[in-house]
Amino acid sequence: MRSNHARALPPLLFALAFSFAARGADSLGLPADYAAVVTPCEASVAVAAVNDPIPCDDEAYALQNYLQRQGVFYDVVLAAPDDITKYHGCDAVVSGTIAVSAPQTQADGPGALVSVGTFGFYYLLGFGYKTQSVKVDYRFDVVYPGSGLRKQYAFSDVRSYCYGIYGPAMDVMTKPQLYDPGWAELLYLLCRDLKKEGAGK
Amino acid sequence: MKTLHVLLTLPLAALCCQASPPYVERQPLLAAGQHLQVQAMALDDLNAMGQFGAAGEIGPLTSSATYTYDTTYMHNMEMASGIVPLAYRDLALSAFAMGRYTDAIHGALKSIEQAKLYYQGDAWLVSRALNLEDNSRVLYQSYLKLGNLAEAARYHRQFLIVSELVNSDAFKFLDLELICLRMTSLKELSNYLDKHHWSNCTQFWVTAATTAAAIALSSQGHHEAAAAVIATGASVVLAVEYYKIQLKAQHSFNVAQLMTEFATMANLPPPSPQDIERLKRSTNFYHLAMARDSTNAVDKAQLQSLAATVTQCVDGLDEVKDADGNYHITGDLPALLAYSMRLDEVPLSLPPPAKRQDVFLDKYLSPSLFRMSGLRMTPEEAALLKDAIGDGKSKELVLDLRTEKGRELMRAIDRIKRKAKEGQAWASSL
Repeated sequence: MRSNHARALPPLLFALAFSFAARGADSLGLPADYAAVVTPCEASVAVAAVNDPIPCDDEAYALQNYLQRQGVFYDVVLAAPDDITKYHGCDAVVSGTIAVSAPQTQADGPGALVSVGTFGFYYLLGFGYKTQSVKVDYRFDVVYPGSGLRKQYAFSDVRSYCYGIYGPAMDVMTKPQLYDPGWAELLYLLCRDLKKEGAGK
Repeated sequence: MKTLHVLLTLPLAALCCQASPPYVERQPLLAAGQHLQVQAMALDDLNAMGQFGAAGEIGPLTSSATYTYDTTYMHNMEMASGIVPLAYRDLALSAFAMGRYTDAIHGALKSIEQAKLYYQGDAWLVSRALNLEDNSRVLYQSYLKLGNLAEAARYHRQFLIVSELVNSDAFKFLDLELICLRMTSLKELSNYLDKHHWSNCTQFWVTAATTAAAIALSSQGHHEAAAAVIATGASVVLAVEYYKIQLKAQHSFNVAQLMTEFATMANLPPPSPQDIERLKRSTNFYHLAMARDSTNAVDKAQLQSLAATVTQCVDGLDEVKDADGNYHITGDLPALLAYSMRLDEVPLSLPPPAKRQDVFLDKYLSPSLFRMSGLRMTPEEAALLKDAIGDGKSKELVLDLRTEKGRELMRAIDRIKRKAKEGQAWASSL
């Protein structure tokens, strides 16, 4: 009896470890020097319109909320649409667009293999064998009124989530979490340019 | 059969009566000054509607962050349509109250833009008019505080036009009509009556309760009281019927034309000098100056001296960042705080206008004065600075930007610097 348990344990542990390793991920990741670059600085940022494919909301509020929560800049305001650099005296003004592709689902080869290897336990226990992914393209235009510098930051992120028989436990299309890696990347780029190049002053 | 009908409609009726307008929980918080909470709640509503699955669509069942609306009922449809425009409006109102004027402009313009989408059609005339009125007010007051008098005058004129309309007899008539408030055609009215089971339900319960009470009283021998209860019940049922008859009344004014006017209102021509003058005359600074006794008015030399002193204090500030990332601000901080607070009082104590009022309007009520008043210290900022400076002898302020308090202090000092600059510009132009 004891030996049967011992025999079933390794494949189950392997399946468990594999399933946890294959959970949600984003392709952007954080740069190695993120912690060193993203530190509080004496700068304020204005956010102009940031639009995505959904017409009823404006992601500027989500970005403002995110930047305020990070506590890096002493003030984060929204810019007035008639002149985005006027009125606030901020060190950087951000505007941009976000394009989101339709989510795609594909079967995971390793998931099916592990399922066979564990005599179907992997599949029946609901571990992931399918991956849902979505590509998010960011394009930000940043103006540094102090130095007159204009920069464009464009990058893409692929969010993916592995799931099994019970369907995705996390929707990759849920906002505002969907854009959090993009906001983090933008924050890094802003801090880098404000500090290293002195773009804000 | 009737009982079955009532039982079937009860869950739906319960759903309808539980749903409240999306702004209902934010209103008391706005009045109480809980602006951060209002903003969090409004953002939750935007998040609920801004999902890829929802995408702002008003379906048969539409959910905000707090409520689910069965939009087959007209009054629920109105509430669901208001989720996004009212969330933006409340964001604008709270930002204005916090002195964040660019945030307020952003929110108010988004609210007007979304009202065009969600309040399409004659049925939403009142909602759209009220939305336009609220947002025009926020826009003109915000632009005024930012010193952009042209934009402020444009939105002030828009506010006056919409405000006049909203206060007209026709709108007051609409207000009196209670549940037929948004019924602007007989077709919508009949649809509403077909679908609105709740009023039928009310009648049923009133009748049932009345009968039960009457039977109870009658069995105890109180025949007169039983008759009175039956009469009261009958009058309540009649009142409900009266509302139904009132609902059938067609409104007499041309709603479609008004909606077209609202749509074109954003394209108003640039403001004339008279518009700007009217705007200046509507400010409380002008009214206070008019009411002031010339004997105790602040004179020009005093104003210029005060502005120069504040600028001197600001120029004397020294800022150093240490190895730990903390900012050390040194200078005559107690004097800076005291003179800054006195500068805040200047717009409220302008000297009374002489005979030539146009000269007063141009000279004193200039963009710099409005910008200076927009940078007035809030009571929270003043308390925070007083607390940080301590016993009034401290010459150094250490700001840790990793903490919220440190960032708030940095914001407060930044505002004082900008205010001193505006004050100096204003005083030197007198």
